[in-house]
Amino acid sequence: MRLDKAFSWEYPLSVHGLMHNAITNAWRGDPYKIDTLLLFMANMAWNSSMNTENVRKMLTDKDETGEYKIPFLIVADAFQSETVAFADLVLPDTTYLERHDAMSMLDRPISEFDGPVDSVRIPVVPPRGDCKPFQEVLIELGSRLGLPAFVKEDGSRKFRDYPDFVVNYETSPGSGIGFLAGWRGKGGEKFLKGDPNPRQWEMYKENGCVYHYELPKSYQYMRNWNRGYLEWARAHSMTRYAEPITIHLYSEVLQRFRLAAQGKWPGRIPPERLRKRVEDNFDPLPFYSAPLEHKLVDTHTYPLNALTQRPMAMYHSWDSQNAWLRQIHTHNYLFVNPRTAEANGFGDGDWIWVESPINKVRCMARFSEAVEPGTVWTWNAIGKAAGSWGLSPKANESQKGFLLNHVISEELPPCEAGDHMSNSDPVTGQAAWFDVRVKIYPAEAGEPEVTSPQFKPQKRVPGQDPKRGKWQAFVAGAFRKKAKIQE
Amino acid sequence: MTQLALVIDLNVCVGCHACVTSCKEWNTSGWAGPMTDQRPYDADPTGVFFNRVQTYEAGVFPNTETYHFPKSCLHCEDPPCVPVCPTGASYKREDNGVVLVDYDKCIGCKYCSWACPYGVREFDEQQKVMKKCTLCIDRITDMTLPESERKPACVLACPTRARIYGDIHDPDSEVSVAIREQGGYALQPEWGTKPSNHYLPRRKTRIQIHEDELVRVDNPLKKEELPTLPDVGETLDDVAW
Amino acid sequence: MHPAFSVIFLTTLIGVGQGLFLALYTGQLYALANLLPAQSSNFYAVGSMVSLALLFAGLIASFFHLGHPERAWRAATQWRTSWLSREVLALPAAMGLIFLYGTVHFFDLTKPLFVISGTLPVDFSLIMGGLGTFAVFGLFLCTAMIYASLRFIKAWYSPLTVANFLFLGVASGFMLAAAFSAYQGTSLVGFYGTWAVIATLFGLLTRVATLYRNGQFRCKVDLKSAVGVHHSQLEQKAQGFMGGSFNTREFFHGRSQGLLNLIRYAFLLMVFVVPVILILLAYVLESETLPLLAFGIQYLGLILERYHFFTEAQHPQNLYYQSMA
Repeated sequence: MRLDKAFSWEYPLSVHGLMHNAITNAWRGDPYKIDTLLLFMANMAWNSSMNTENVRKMLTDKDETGEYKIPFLIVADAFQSETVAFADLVLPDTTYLERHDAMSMLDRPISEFDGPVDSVRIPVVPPRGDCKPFQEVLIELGSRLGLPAFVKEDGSRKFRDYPDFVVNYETSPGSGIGFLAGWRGKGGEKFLKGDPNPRQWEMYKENGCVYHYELPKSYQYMRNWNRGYLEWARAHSMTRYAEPITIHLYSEVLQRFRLAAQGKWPGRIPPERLRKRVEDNFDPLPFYSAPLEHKLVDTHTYPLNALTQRPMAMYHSWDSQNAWLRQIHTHNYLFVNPRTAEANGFGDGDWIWVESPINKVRCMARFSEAVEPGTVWTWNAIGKAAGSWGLSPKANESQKGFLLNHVISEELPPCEAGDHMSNSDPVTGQAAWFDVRVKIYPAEAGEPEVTSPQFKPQKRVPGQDPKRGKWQAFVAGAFRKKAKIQE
Repeated sequence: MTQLALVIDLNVCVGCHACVTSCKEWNTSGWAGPMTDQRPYDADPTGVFFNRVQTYEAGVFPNTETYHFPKSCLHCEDPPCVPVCPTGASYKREDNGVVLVDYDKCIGCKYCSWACPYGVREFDEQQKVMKKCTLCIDRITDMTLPESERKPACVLACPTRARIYGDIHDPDSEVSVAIREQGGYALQPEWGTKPSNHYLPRRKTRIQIHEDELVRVDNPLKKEELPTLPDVGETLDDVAW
Repeated sequence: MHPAFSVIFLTTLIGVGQGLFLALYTGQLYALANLLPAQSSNFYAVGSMVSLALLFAGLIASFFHLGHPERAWRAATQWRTSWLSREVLALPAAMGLIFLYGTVHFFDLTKPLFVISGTLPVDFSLIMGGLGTFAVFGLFLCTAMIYASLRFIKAWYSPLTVANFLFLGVASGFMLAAAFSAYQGTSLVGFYGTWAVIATLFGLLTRVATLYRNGQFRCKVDLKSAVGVHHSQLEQKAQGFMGGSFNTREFFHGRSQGLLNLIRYAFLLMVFVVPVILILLAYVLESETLPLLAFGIQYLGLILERYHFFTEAQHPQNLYYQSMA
């Protein structure tokens, strides 16, 4: 059983995992206790978690013996994020110009309509200080732990480093399918499928870091039922079948789960508490059902849906804090239809509370006629914890910006299926970010005009120089000797 | 005479701000730079930008439309900001109609910004001179660049091709055709400043379909013969998701 | 518009200085026509220096408005098109002529050069004063036209702006002349005081007319025209930035309507009502200090008046900066 309970009967087809439950499950010791949590590429003490305020408490919570419930936390990050503040060990990550990367055929390549494309990133500057790409950390870990993909039959290390891994990894020994499609084969003469090529990185570099296979014109269009293309793709192991690709309105896979839940399947069957859940949700045909959370909370008390979305300007940069982008979005408002606001007694720009069954946040409202009156929404991940991301503790992000995640629960209220079911799709485990129900009401007259919850400002870390007074410029260099600074 | 300008298509601008950041990236490091920032990591960060994207809403729910509205210097044909400049730092190029500021002559009196009804000039609080969109003059006049790149940075960055660039005095240019055929309009035409930049208004395409067109006469359910192919072992379908 | 104190001091200080010079020269002309007793050269010389000092102080204040005052000399180049450039030429010209006028008086170079029609003896001071008067009126025009020529700012785009600058400058200058005369113990207090009151009343007329006008009109353009979306319910949601920009700092006064009302009543009282009453009192009581008080109060009032002048101006660019999100 995985820590996040992915692929269990609770979320049988959860190929993306249930990251949002990892910390809560580890804290509760369900399905088991852990001794080490390694986080990378996610800001789990802030915008990557639901129920953020409580998840932050879980990260430092102790059991009755005085031991931390999550004893050892390792965080790999290139920035001073909210999560880094909780780390026992920080592994400083590189930024993207300091490391090798692959936009691989194995995971969302950048294909074009006229043929498959993948690309790589080759570092242009060496990493600073002790920074190390997190991929190197993972390969190091995999090799030392002896994970099968990372060791030879005799148990010795298989890959020197990440670039070596990208070139030489094959999906199974001799399959000829690896991360990169271009310049495969011993001398780089093959594509899509072929033996590892020791000079593959160089060949990508020579070709602008991109491999693009241009299909013949007749293969370029209607590819889901272009026979020539489908056969070509099959011959090059791009697809398993050469049959036309159609959307299966009736899913045999889902029907098997339903049969299992109904006891009509010879194989494994779900536990009793989950049988109805599996039977209801594994409908082989498309169906509508209200979000699970709506059936379990009082929708009269909490009449509104609350949504978040990433701002376009910061879509791929929320794992950084850019001086220009933060001028565009330096804090966020809750967008409310004017009629919804009127019914709840507040005006445009007023400070309000957004309360869900688990928590509440204070923020500012902005009227918008583009919002459905039963819904409110805000930009995600504009709000930051005070002092994080190298920002001043007075930065707008922490004082006026807010995080809706505080009111979104990572678990459903207790129900027939269990007391601690993840707030996720019962089939795929997709986090139910948009299922939260809230009520909104104006803040009291005397309340401070800052967002709530607030957290103790993060401490400055080595390298973040304390603010110097302007007067110090006049004596710059005067205390070199005293500070033992070499000329 | 040539009058270079931008035409902005409000049908396709999605408000992603890519033009805003690419503009600053190009211009802060080039001829028109630097574009300084104040309090970049503190409260109320602010700085010089030549191009901003604003958002407007028209109508009442559910008949609401959201407009994303990029705004930069309109390079007026009769720019009111130029004659008021006491030093001649503000000028309009004779050869291509681009309105520019010579930072070395600017005394920072801000009078030109008072004389601009569009609010597109920005004073650099650090360098103490007035700055504005140059239409990337150092790109568009750089003959060492291939012609496809001799365009303003914002135009090259726009992912939806909402920004078209060209000579509005050439009746056959892409911009002139767009203005003519799609009803391109200028901002605050009442003043007679004749802005060169134009905006293409939202178009509405209403569906006109008859009932009988909804029924297909051919049969899409006919099954084709499929060939059997040799087994090639593991495929991407087996290993990737 | 955001009131710029450097410009407030520039326009009010040079206004007083110009008015004072006009007062001195008017006094001289009246004396020439034997309508007033002739004054000592010293009176004119010191008065000119006071006027010059005020113009100089205004000039210094103007430098604080500039990002690059060391390049200010360049501002003299575009006089063909720019009223600001013309002001940059008119101000030193007026200063030079006032300096010469004062110098001529100081060194008593007032021997008539020639006599026109046998009755009007023309000396250096008369010529310099005449030229200075031209320069001073030119300077009033240039200063006012800097604002009055901005056709987008309707509150300023009016001949009333020129009239206000002129009358208020003359009023405060004559008021200072009255105070100066009282201080010097000359008999011109009544003369200058009378003209100061007349100019003040003219100023009252044009300034109140301006306030009335600015309370009436609507801007030629609205948001629909600014954005080009002709929908009756068009509202800005985001202006493209949230931490402020030049556009939000330079063109918005950011003051409450209540404060502006207070400033308006205060300047109407301090510029127009109180000084006139004080001058009348001074006339009745033959006081030496009340004219000085009248001038002081009027000058403070003018600072408020000029502050209000800026806040009255609604710049059309503000249409684009109404909301953030």
